[in-house]
Amino acid sequence: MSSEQASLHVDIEHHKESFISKYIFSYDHKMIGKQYMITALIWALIGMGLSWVMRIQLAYPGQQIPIFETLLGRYAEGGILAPEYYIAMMTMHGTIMVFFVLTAGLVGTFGNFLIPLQIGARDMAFPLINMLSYWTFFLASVVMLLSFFVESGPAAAGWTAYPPLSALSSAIPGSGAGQSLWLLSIALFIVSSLFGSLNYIVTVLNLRTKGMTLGRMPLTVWAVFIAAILGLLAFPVLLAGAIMLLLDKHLATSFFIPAGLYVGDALLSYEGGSPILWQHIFWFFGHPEVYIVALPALGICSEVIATCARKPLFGYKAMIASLLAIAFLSFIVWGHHMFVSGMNPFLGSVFVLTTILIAVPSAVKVFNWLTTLWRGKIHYTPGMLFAMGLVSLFITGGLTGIFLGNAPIDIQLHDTYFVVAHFHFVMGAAALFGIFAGIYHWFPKMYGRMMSNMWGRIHFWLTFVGIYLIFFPMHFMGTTGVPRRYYAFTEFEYTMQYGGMNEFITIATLITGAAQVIFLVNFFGSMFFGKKAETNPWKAATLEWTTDDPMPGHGNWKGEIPTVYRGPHEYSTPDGKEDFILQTDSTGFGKMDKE
Amino acid sequence: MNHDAVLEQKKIMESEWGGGKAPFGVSWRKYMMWIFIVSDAFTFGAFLAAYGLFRVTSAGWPDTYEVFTAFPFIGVEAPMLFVAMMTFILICSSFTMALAVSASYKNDRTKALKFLGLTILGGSIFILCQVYEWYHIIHDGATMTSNPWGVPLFSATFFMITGFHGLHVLSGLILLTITALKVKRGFYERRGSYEGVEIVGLYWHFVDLVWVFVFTFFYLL
Amino acid sequence: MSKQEHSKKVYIKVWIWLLAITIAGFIVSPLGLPGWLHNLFIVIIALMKGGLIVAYFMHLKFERLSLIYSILLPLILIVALAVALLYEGTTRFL
Repeated sequence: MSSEQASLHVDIEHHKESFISKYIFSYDHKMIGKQYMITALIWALIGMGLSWVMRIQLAYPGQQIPIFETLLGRYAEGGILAPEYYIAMMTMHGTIMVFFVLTAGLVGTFGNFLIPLQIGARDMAFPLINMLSYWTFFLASVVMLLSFFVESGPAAAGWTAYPPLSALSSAIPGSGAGQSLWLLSIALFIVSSLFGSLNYIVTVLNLRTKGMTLGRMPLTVWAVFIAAILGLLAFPVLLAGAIMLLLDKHLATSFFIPAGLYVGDALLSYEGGSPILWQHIFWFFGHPEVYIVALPALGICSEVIATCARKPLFGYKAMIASLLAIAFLSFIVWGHHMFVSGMNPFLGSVFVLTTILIAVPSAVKVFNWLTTLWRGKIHYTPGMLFAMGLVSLFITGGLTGIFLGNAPIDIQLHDTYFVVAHFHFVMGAAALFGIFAGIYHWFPKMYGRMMSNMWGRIHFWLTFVGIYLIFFPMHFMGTTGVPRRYYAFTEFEYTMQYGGMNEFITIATLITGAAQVIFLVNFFGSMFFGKKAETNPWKAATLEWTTDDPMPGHGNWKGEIPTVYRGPHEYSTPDGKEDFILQTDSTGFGKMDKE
Repeated sequence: MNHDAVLEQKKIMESEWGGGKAPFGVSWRKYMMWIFIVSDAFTFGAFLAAYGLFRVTSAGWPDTYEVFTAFPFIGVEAPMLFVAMMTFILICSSFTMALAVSASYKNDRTKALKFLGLTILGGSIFILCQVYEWYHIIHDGATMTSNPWGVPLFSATFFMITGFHGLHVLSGLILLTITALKVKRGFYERRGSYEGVEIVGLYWHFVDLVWVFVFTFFYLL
Repeated sequence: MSKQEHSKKVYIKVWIWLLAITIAGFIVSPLGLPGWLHNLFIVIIALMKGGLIVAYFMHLKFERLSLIYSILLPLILIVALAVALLYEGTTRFL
C-alpha cells in the first residue's frame, strides 16, 4: 500500500457516518456515483418528456392537445404549443440530454463508481473535491431547471447557443433571462466537470494498487480516464466563450454580434464582432464533448462484451490505441460542424481529412468487438444485449458520419433531419445504451441485488427496435431536404408528404418512451426487492468483484487492497479451474508480493 | 505457472508504473495543480486566440504605444513604461516565490515567511497598478462598448483579458495569504512536508507566466 | 529534490536573465524595425521568458520526462485553435 493510500485509509476509518454524511454530502465515491446516476435518470425523464412534446407537435401540428395546456401552461395556450416555445423545448431537450444525462450519467456515474473499485483504490484522490463536483453539478441542475419558470421562458438558441440569437436579449423571448440562466448553469457545469476531471486523472495515475499497470486497467477505466483528459482541455475553452457571451448579453460588448444588425425594424448600434468566432470556440469544445460522452460508453461496451462473451477482449492494446487516437483527433475536427458557415475552403478541406481519419480508429473498435464476439460463449444478460445494441447503433451512426464529414455532401445535408438521425444514433442512443449496459452490469455492485433479467431483455428489445423505428426514417426525410428545428411541416409541399411518416415516428417515440417505465420499475424495484447478489454474479475477472461484500462500504476492501497479477479480461483461459482468472489470482507466483 | 510471467510480474512490481507508486515522481496534489494549470492555460489561450482573430479582422486597431502612456507622478508621457514596470514587479514576485519554496524546503520558517510576505507585497502592488491603469483608461473614455482610439473591441478585449488575469492574481493573493498563515502556525512543519507552499508557488508562477503572454500579445505586438 | 535545484544562485541568475530580456523587448520597439521582424523578436522573447519561468521557477526542467511531456504536449491543441482562428481572420472581415 502506498503511503498516499495509507493516509486515505486512516481518514476513512476516523470518519463517522451520519445520515447526512452517508447519503447527502458523502465523500464515498460510490455514493457520489449513485447520486450522479439518480440525478441523470431524473433529467432523462424530463428530457424525454420534452421530446414527446416536440414529436406530438410535429405529428399533429395545429391540433389542440388539452394535456399540453395542463402541463405547459402559458407555453401552450389553448393546447397548442407556441412556435417560440417549440424551439425552447428543443433547446432544453438538447442541453439536458447532452450535459445532464449523457455526460453526468456516463462520466459522472461510472467514472466515480468504477475508477477506485477497478484500479484498487480506497477512494478518489481528493474526496472533498469529488463531493463538491456533484453538488456543483446539482446547483447547475437547479439553475437549468429554474429557467423553465422565468417569465420569458427557457433558452431557445439551440444547445449550441449560436449568437446573435443567444447574444441579443431582445431577439426572441428565450434570449432573455432564460439564456442567461442557461449560460450560468453551463458555467457551473464546467466547474463541476473540472473538479471531476482533475480527480479522475490523478487517481488513475497515482492511486493504482500494486501490480495494476496502465496495461492491466479495464477498458472502462481507460475510457473514463481519456474522457477526463478531454474534459480538462475542452471545457475551459467553452468557459472562455461563455464568459464572452455573458459580457455580450449584459455589458453590451460585441464579441459575437456583427455590425449592421436589425431586430424588428431597428438598426442595432453594435460595431463589428464575429458570430463565427463563437462557432469555432463552441465546437472546439463541442466535438471533444461528443467523445467525452461516447468514449465511456464504448469502454463499458468493450468490458461487458468481453465478460459476457467469456473471451479475452480481442486487441486490448488496439482498443486503447484507438481510444487515444479518437481523443486526439477530436480536437482537430471541430470545423466539420461549420462547413456551411462560409469557411475558407482550404481550411474546410483540412477538417474533412481529419474527420474522415476518425473512421479508422472507430472501425478498429467495431471489428475488435465483432471478433471478440466471434465464437464466444455468449451470455445474453441485459447488459450484454445493450452492449451489442451499442455496437449496432455505433455502426449505423458512424456510417452516416462519413457522409457528413465530407464537405460537399454535408453542404447538401446540413441542418436537415439526416443530421438529427446521425447524432441521435451515434451520440444519443449509443451513449444511452452505454449507460443502460453499465447500469445492468454493475447494479449488483451498486445495490447488492440483481435486476430482473427477463424484464431487462424486454426493455432492451422494445428500446432497440424503437430507436431504429424513430430515427431510421429521418435519414430519408433528410436526404430530400426536410429541415430540422422546424415547428411544423405544413407550409411546403415537399415536407407535407412526410405527414404520415412524422406520425409514425411520433407513435414510435411514445411507445419507446413508455417502455422505459419497465426499466424504472425494474431499477427501483430491484433496489429493494431484487434477488440478493453473489459477490461475482457475472464471473468477471476485474478487481471490483473481489471486494468482501457484494456491496462494499467506504474504503472498498476491508483488509489490504489486493495485488494484481494479470490483465483485466482473462476468460476461457486453459489453465484456470473456472473459465476465468481474477486479476488478483496469484496462483503460480509464489510469495512474491509479501517481500 | 510460466516462468516468464513470474519474471514479468517482478519487473512490474519494481517499475514506477507498476502501481502503488507515483509514476511521475510527484504526489497527486502537485500533479493536480499541474493539470489544473494546463486547463487554465486553455481558457487564457481561448481568450488570446479570440483576441487574435479580432485583431487581424478589424480595421483600425489602436496603437497601444499611443494608448498606454500614463505614468503616475512624473507628469510626462512615457509610452508603455508603466506596464513594463508592472511586468517587472510580477517577475520579481515570482522570484521571491521561488525563494520562499526553496527556503521552506530547507525548513527555514522565518525565511520562507519573509519571502512569502514579499511575494504577497509584489502581487498587491501589481493589483494596485492595474487598478491605476484601469482607472486611467476609463478616465480617458474607454468602456466595454467604446473607446476614443478605435474599434470598440479593443477596450472590450482589454478589460476582459486583464480583468480575468486580475482575478487570478487576486485569488493567488488569497491562496498565498492562507499559505503564509499556515507556515506561520507550523502546519507544514507538523505535517513534515512543505509541498503545499510549492503547489501555491506553481499557481503563482503560472499567473506570472500568463502575464508575460498578455503583456506581449496585447501591449507589445 | 536535491539542493542543487533549489539553489539561490540559479534563481538569481534566472531573475537577471528575465529582467534583461524584458528590457530588451521593451527597448526594441522604438528602433523602427520592419513589422514582421519586430513581432518575431517580441514573440521569441515572450517564449524565452515563459520557458525560463516554467523550466526554473516551476521546476519543470527537473521533473521526469514523462511529466514534462504530459504538461507540454496538450498545449499544441490550443495553439492549433489560435492558428485556425488567425487563418480564418485573414480570410474574413468583420
